[in-house]
Amino acid sequence: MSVATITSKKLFIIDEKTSSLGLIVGFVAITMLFITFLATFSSMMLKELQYIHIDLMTKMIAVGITSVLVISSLLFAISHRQWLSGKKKESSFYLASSMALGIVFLFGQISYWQLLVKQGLSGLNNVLVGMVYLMAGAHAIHLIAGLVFLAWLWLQLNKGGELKEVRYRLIGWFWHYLSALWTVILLYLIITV
Amino acid sequence: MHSESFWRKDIFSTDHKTIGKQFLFFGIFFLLFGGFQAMLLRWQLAYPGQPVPWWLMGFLYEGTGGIIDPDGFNRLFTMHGTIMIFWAITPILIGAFGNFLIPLQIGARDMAFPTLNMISFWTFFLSGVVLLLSHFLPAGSASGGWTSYPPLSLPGGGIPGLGQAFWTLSVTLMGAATMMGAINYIITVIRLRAPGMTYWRMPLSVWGLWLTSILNAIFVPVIAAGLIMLLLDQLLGTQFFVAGRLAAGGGGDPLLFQHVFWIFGHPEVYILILPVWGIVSDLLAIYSRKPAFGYKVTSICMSTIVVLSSIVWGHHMYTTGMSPLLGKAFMFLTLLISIPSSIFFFNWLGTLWRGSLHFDPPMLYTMSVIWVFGLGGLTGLYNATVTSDIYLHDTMFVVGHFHYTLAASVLFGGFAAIAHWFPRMFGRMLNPLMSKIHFWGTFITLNLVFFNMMVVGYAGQHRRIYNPSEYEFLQPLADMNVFITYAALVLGLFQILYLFNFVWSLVKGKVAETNPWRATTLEWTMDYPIPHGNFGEIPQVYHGPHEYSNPNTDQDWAPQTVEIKSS
Repeated sequence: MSVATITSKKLFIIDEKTSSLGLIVGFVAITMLFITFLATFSSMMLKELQYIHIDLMTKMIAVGITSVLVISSLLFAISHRQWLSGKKKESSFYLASSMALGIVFLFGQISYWQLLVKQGLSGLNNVLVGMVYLMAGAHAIHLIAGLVFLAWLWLQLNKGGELKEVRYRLIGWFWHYLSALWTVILLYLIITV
Repeated sequence: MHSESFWRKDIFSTDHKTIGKQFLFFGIFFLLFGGFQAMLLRWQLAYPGQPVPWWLMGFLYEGTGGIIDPDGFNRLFTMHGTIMIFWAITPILIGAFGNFLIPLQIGARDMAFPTLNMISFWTFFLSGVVLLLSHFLPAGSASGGWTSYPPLSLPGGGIPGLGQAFWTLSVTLMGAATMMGAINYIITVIRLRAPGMTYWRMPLSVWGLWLTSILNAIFVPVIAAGLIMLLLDQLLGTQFFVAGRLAAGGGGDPLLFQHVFWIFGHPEVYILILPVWGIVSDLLAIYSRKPAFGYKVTSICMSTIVVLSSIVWGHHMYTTGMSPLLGKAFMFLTLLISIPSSIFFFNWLGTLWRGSLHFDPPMLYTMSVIWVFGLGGLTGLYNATVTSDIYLHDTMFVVGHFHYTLAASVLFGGFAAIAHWFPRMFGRMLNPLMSKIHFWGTFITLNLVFFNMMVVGYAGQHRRIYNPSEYEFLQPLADMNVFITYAALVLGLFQILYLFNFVWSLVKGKVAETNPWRATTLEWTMDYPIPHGNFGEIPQVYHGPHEYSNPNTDQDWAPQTVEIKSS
């Protein structure tokens, strides 16, 4: 096949494995970012630079908010399954629900942040609290990116055009990853604080 | 060939070759800028308090009576280090040659994610703009050193204005761009190798660039985390790295930043040098007309160093009061790196041994890497050892050492790569006479500069001091400092010759034949200009990248696309 006869689009088709691997390397990078935050947090804890005291009730609220994200992730998985079995309407519904819970989680995080500030836990004079806010903020930025992907997917789904399965799957991976990431961070914080 | 508009073809191109060239021009610009700053630094060290002469653009210091003031000196060494490492070496070696070589040498049409590749360059470009803009801030650019340690780099550290925040922002942006490149390089090598191009048949240049990308993907996020915290400290008043009197509350830990910085910073040394090791290993084989000695061992050694590099950061911090036991552990691990380094170093010598050496300009530059890297590596042992490092820490000895390992090795590696692949990139040959004059001029003066830096450092001269003549014990070194400065100025003059040669050859250089060096790798199998998409048909690869002087071939080289039948 001569180059003269190949169009630009045909030349550069990104296959499924390539996209998947790219995303996995991306996960490695994001994980390293959060590992560094957690390591810094742990080091500050070990050096006893400062203390955080959070009561059980406040901790349970955090668990509640995080479970919203976990449910959102599960709804996405259901949506994907529905789509695979050809049930596009149901798929769209579960996807919208997943997205809505993602937004609820975001607002939940902001409210939780305000609650901590009201309890006198400011990130400006307590580095440990600052680290928690930083991790939540960094996670939220990734989550907003995830919501943009989810919204795009929902639009594609409702347009009725052709949608590649790999896109559905990879957006799902990202969403599940973000859910798992925050769950691990929260568990770590609950255990150590 | 599909037609594209000027903007898509030359500006926002997704063709890896165009992006490679964009990185090259971008890197050369910053190399000259950072190099010029080095000349000003040397002027101050040789003639402290004397006005900068007109031929060194003394008018830049009109506001201070033509003299580089102490703040200006701090800004100079900060920006010199930052620019050379992040905006000169990185784009030239990793950005330019990573982009240009990887797809061509493994037989791919382009990078795995061409659009991401384009975004990577423009993010890099934006980071450079932010850094340049910081020079025009009312209080000037950053001046906390290229490491920007807190608390010095924080508002309470005494550095006025927003220079430090701009520094942090620009390095963070640069890191994001590097990450995008790293993902692309890693996946391209894993997924887009041509049929027959096994890992053990990849050119060592690709090995070096691939390993560099793995390090980038793992460790750039580490420094990104540190920089985000630093930026919040600088702009929002958090106190992650603030302690003592400066902290309004309980405060954080400035030393933590050093850990985070060097967990990235030491792998960064290998991030910058690995592409050079790969390129040197390949070019030595080409210009010795021999297969690279110990090809597999060299790639295994480079991979081993990648692993070891991630656990030795503490040797940058021996003087921070770390536990002696920890210091010993870091010393042991650091010295361990000398084993794989020595092995592939001897492999280079093995490649040269009884080879048919062709002293073309790329070979001259390549052989000089052996010398400068050898010296840099050997002097590194003193810095790796706790007892000697405590004396040598923060002296000009360290400056000389890392200029040998990083600046000199990477510069010569870059010059070698440009001289070798110039015909592929631009279809013309670099003028060989000017290249050879540049080589000898650079090789001699560079050694005079960096070797003597180590000498004055060994004699006790600290780095980053504004006026060495203020210290009585350094006054006998004044003549030596003047000598180093003149050697540096001559070194700078030879780079003007290089720039002239580069531009002249680009326009008027001899038109290159398809494979002027009779090299075997895939990029030399196509006529210039190589179209977007590279290969008409993806080539079949039959053997490794260094089939030279094989008795079963008619000529002394066999391209990777030609099957060798044993007689």
